Amino acid sequence: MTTTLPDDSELSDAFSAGGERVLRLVYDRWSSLVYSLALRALSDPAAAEDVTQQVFVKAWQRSASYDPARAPLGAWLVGITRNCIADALADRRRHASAADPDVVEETTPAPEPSFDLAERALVAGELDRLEEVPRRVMRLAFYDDLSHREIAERLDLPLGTVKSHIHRSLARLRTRLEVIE
Amino acid sequence: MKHVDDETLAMLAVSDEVAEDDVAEHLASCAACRAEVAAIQRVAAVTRSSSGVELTSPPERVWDRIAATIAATPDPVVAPSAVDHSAAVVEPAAVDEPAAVHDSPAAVDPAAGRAHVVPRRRPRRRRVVAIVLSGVGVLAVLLGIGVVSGVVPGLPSGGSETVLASTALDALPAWKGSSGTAELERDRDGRLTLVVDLRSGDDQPGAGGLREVWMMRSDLKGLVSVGFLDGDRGRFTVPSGMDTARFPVVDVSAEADDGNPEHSGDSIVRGRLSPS
Repeated sequence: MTTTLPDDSELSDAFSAGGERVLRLVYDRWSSLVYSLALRALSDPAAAEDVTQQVFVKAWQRSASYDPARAPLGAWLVGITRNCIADALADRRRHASAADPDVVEETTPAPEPSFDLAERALVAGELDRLEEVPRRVMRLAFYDDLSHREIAERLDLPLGTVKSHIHRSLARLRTRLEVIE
Repeated sequence: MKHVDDETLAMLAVSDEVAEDDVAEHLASCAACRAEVAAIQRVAAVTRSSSGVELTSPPERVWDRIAATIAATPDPVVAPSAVDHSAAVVEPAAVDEPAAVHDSPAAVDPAAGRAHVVPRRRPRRRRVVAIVLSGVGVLAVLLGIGVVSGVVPGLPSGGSETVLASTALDALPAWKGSSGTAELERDRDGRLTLVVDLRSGDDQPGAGGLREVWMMRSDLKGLVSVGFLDGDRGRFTVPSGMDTARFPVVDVSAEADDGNPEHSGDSIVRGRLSPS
């Protein structure tokens, strides 16, 4: 299943070279993350749709300046999403204060929870894209909370292989998260 | 003192394994290794909490609006040549394009609207040119070093460079038997060069693959690629704007020839520069 998904780094390289077909692939890969973050922060489907649209239009306009060596594409898109959400919130605050100054306090939500979701969603997406064996190892270790020895028995792998999959996969996840922090 | 290898740190971070005495002793005195454990624990915590994250897909109309906005964006490469050919043909298009943009006002925020005017092909070309030019620059520097260090007789070959810092490079467990050295040199013009020597282990006869040299932060959380090793010895010009004090760790990794610019996570040797 995962073999049919374009590899993220291939997608990053293709994206930096531009092109609308690539934008569609990028949209397929990350639009649900972008939309979910916006929906969580704004609690308004129409506003979340607007933000999603802005994010991908901006991403397309800035594709020439995107450098795959400096940031993973997912993290880069999350960065643009944060800016668009902040703009949408600021807009909303301006309108709210014009209509009724008392509402301002209440309509200033803290955006933090959505950023936490961004990390979790990026990690979940990365896990889905691991090779089959490391993916199963990681899920058993972190979702099912099995010990390394239990995983080795369950998957009939040497203990050292289990450890090495966990070590490598965590290192990989870390590179995907680095820019988010 | 020698740092604890990555895999051991990862296992200490995510399992209930107890550190061996020497590892525990090192951790007690080494903030960098402790920070590494903490960073891995954080990634592990995010991973645990990523179970059951449900994402909602946007309705398909969002893509339709994106596609429409993009189609309405004037293409600076096509537009001028169209003007040259025939005013009669161009006129409707010229009227159409701005109209299409205004048709979907929700689509375009003020910042994006401004960006529409910016030609989007040109910068890409400039970037390619810049890369080519910088490549030429690096080549010139390398040739220059070659000239200074050997080809021209009569020039001092050893005296022109000062070794600022050096380290032994120790093998990571998967690459037992490998070793090496790294030296950071400054030449008379103030240019910094990282010189890396790698000795492969007996069981690792330089098999295929590429070997990339990196400079990393002490906590290994930031890194800069300085180049690929060709053979067992390489000289790498350190970018002049780079603060080498912030990237004291020299790392050589095994890389697949797959175009992925990131560190593979498979380090062969590593060491931390210290002033010499």
